[in-house]
Amino acid sequence: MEEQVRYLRQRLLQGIGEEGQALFFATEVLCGGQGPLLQTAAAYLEAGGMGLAWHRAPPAAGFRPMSWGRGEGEEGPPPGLGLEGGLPPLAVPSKQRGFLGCLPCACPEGMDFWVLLGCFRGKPGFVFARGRDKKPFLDKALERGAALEGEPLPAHWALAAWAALAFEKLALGLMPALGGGSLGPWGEVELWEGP
Amino acid sequence: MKKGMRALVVGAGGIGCPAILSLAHGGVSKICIADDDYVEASNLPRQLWHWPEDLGRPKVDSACEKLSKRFPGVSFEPLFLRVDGGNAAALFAEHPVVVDATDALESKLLFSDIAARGGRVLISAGAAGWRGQVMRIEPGGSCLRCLFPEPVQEGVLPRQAGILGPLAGLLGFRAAAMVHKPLGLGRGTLHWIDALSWRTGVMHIEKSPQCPCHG
Repeated sequence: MEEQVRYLRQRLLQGIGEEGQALFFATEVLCGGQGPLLQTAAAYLEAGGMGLAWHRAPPAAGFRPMSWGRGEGEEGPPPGLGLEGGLPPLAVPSKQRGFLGCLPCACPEGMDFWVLLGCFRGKPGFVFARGRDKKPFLDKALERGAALEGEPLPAHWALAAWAALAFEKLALGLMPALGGGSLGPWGEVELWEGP
Repeated sequence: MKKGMRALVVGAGGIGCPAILSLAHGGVSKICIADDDYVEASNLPRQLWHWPEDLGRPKVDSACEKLSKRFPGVSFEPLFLRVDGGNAAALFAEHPVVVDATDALESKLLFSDIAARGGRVLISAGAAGWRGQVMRIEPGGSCLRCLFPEPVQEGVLPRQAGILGPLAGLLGFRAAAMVHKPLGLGRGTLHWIDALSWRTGVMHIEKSPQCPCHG
């Protein structure tokens, strides 16, 4: 795992700096909901170095997070994904917590940011927010959004990647604090205009 | 995409892994996966069919093992080899659709040439840094050499430039979606993504009269 940690730092060094990797390691993800898209988004976050905490959900046909399948009480980041191991220490920021959810769900308190997948105005999409004062926006989105139903269509798999990408950029502070988007016909995202 | 289709995916990495997932879920009955690499720790953040316990294994074995469990109704064929000028045409001939999920420009141009000349649909996908693109190449249509008429230098590879895992995933899922060819998606369609600015776009690449593939 040392090699992976070193690689991750190097990878991010060219784009967002060493601090970016430390932010990933300092991010805890609470996952709420179920389904292959949410599971796949979560798997990307875990593979990037974030720790997952789950409301139990049955495995679906997407990518399965590595921490699944372990015994009860053993959930969390994969073993060895810490920063120890002979590498120069990073200035690890204080922990931040994000919520990755799939409608229908309730936004838990105490999160620093949120990404929610769902169906908005008939299109698969997601909303995101950062900051505690943004929660009313999410609550409104929850009222207007609906659950994703059925198995993902080919273009819908992109939603999992978009959601994970939004989550990572929120963790890095590279996203607007508030927004969302829906999928176009080929899986491309169409950003919403403002909150 | 028709149910029961066969597909060849070249590359079981950051783009190939999600492409295979979507293809298998979408009803492709047989997926041939070609790659000559072994799983390395640096692959794990974005190549999600490979887990820490797979380090040192051929990527095709690691991927096919998990895929076969997840999709028992789909046939996965691992090909532990490098697809190059000596075998690419024959491999392409066996599959109506090919997904190029490699990260080498030389391979991408070779595959594009074969597809444009040889009667196979190719979905060519690539990403590095914050950007990526996917192009659908059909026989007789525009190809990568129409897009890059001048010889181009090998750019920075994803493994060198770095890439966020979900961006590679996005390109892979979009590549698979382009195999399915939804309404309005024609030959020479290129999708691009800039994940830093959060922008995407669609371009239609015209055939170039100077392109050696069509000359």
